[in-house]
Amino acid sequence: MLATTESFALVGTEARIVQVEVDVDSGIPGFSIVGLPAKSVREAEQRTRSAINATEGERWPRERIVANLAPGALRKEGTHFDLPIALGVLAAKGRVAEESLGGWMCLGELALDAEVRRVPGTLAAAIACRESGHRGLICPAANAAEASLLEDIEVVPSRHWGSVLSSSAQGSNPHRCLRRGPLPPPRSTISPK
Amino acid sequence: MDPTKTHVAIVGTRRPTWAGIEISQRFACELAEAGFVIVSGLAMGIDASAHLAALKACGRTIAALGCGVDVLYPARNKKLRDEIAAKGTLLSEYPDGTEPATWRFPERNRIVAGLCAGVIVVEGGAKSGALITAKRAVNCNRAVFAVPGSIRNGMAAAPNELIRTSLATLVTEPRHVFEDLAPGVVWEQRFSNKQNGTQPILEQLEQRVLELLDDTPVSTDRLRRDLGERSGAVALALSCLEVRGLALKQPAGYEITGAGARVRRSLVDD
Amino acid sequence: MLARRLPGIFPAMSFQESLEVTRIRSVAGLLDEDSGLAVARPFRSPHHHVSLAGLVGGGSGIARPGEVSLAHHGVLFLDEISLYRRDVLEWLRGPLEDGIVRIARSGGVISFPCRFSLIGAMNPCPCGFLGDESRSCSCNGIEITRYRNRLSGPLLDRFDMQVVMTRLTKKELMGPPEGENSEVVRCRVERARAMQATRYSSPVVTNASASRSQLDSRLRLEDAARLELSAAIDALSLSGRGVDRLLRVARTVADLEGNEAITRIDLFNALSFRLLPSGDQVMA
Repeated sequence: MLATTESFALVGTEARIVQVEVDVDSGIPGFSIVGLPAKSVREAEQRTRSAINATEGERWPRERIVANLAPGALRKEGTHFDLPIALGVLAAKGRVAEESLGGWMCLGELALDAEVRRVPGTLAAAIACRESGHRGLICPAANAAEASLLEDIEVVPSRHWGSVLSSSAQGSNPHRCLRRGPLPPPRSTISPK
Repeated sequence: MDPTKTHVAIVGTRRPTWAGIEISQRFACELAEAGFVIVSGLAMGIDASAHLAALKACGRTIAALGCGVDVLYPARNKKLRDEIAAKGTLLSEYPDGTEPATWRFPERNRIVAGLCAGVIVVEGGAKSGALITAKRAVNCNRAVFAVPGSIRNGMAAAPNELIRTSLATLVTEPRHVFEDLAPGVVWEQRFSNKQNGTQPILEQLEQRVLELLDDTPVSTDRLRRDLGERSGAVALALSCLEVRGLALKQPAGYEITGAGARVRRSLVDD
Repeated sequence: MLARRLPGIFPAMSFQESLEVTRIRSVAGLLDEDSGLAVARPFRSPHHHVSLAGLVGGGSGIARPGEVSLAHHGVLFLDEISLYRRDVLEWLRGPLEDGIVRIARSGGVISFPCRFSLIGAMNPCPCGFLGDESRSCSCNGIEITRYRNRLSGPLLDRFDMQVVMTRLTKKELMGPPEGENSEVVRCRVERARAMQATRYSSPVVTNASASRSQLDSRLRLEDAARLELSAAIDALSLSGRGVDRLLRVARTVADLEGNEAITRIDLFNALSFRLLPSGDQVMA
C-alpha cells in the first residue's frame, strides 16, 4: 500500500513543500528512505519505529518499507520529517485514513516515548502552507504559537503522538477520527492531552 | 651669501602634532622658495612633511638615509622617496643593500648636520633624535634653530630644551632662519605664504572655542565643561571652525590650525 | 549600553517586518514555546571570536541564519570592532549594501534577508586613553595608525556617522540619568520617518535608502547652508561620496528638527558626525 503525506524542507527562510510517500509492501522487513535525506532525516526510522511501538494498538509493520521524499533533487534536512513518515507508515497500513490528511502539512520530531518535540522553521512552514492553499498545519504544541501567527490557516497542535491519532475528544479538531477502528483505552503513561 | 647654495635641515619627531606638520611645512615651503636646499632624514612625521613641502614648492631637497639608497625604508614613504629620487637627492654613506638599524640613525643625523649651514628643530620629545642632530650640529659649528611650543605639548620638549640651554636660537618665522643664514640678502615678502586677508566672521561661542583650542588635541568634553555649554552647541561651533579651516578633527579631539592661530591672534589684537 | 538603546528609538515594526523577524528566528530554532510575534526589534552583539559562518549563516545540517540575518530589521553591534577578524569585517560590506546574504550550498544557493543597522565601537587607540583627560595615552603614532587601519577604508566608508564617547565622570555615573528617554526620542524618529515617507511618496524609502536622484530633487537647502556646504567641501576636501553622505545625514537631522529645508545649523550638526580620516591621512 502506498500513502502520501505532506511536509516541507527549508531553503534559507523559505519552506518548500515536500511530498512524503511511504510504501509498505511484502518483502524482507526493512526501512529505507530516499530523496536526498540528510543524516537527521535518516534517523527518523529509529524514532518513528519506537514511537509507533509505544502506541497502544499499533505495531511497526514487519514488512519492506520505503519512504520517498519528493522532489528528489531537493536536499532535506531536519528532524521534522518524523511525524509525516510515521503517519505515512500507518496510512499505508490502512490504520489511518489517508484522505483525512489531504490538505494538511505535518511536521514534528518524535521522541522514543512518542512525545512530539518542537522543530525549527514552523513559521516558514505556516507561510508556505498559506501560500500553497493548504488547509492547515499539524505541528508540535511547542510550535503552535508561531504557527498561529497567520490567521487564515488552521493549526492542530499536538504534544503527543497519541493525540495526533486520537484527538477526537476536542470536536474542533478537523482531523479527528484519523484512525480507523475502535480506539484503545488511553495508556496511563500517555497524558490525556 | 648666496641663498641658493645654502643647505638647511628641518628635523623632528616621527609622531608630530598637526601643528608640527604645519610648521615644518611652512618653514620648508618658504625657505625652499627662497632658494634654500631642504635637508632631512626621510623619516615619517616632520621629516616627511618637510621633504614634501619642499617638493611642492618646486624647491630642492636632500634626504640623508640611515640605510642603503636602494633599501626602501620606511616603506610607507615609498612614494615620497621615489619623488625625491626623481627631483632631489637621496644620500647615504652606506653601501647598497645595507639594512636600516637603530644605531645607524644617529650616524645619519651626523650627515644631516654636516651638510647644512643650519638645523631647524620643529618638534621632538625629551629624548628625540632631533636633539642628537642638534648637538652634532653645535659641535660642527652649525647654527641651530628651534621653534618653541607650549610646555603642555610633549612634542615641544626638544625645541624648548634647546632654547633653555642656549644651544638653539628661538625662531617663529622662516624669515628668522633666512636672515641668520643669508645675511645681507633681503627677505622678500613674496616668499611668505600670502594669507588671504579676509577675516572670517565668528560668532561669540566660536571665538570662545577657538581661544581654548591648542596645538595638541582638546576633547569636546573638555571644551564643553570649560565653556559650560551644551555639547551640541560646542559641536556646532567646532564644525563651523572646521569648515572655516581654523580647527582640525583628530582622533583625540580638536586641534587649532595655523590659520586658526592667526585668527586667534588678530582677535586678541582687536 | 547606548547601542542597546538604539532598537528602542527605531520606529515600531510593521506586521510584515515582525513576521520576517519571527520567521528567521523560527528557522534558527530560537523561538520559545510561548513566544509569539517578535515585537521588539532585534539587537545582536556577537562576540569578536565569531566565525564567518556564525556571522553569515550556513553551517552543517539545516542552513542556519547567521548573526547578520538575526539582526534583520534591527541592530548588529560589534563591540571592540577592531578585534574582529579582518575577513569577517570585510565580508560585511556586501550584505550592508545588498541587505541580503547568499550562501552557496551543495544543493544550490540559498539566501537570508539581513537589513540591519551596523554599530561598531572601538577605542581611539590601543591603550584606550588617547584624548582622555585623566590618563595620558602611551601609544606611539605607528601603533595608533596600525590599530585604526584594522578597519579598511572601504569598510569605514560604509559608516555614516561617528560619535566620540568620552569616559563618564563620577557625577554622571552617580547622578540621576540625564537626557530624554527612548520613548520621547522614538516619537521624534517616527515623525521624521513620516516626513520622509511624504517626501519620497513611499513608506519604505528613507534618507539613507533614497536614490541619488530622489535625494537631489527633494533635498532643499537654505541659502546659508548651501554656502557653508561649499566652504566645507573646500576646507575638508570632501569626496563625492563624502558630500552625499553629509547631505543624507543633514537631511535626517533637519527631519528630526522638523525643518522643511536644511539649515546651516543642521549642516554643522551633520558635519560633527563626520568620520575621521583613516590613520594614514592623520599621520601624513
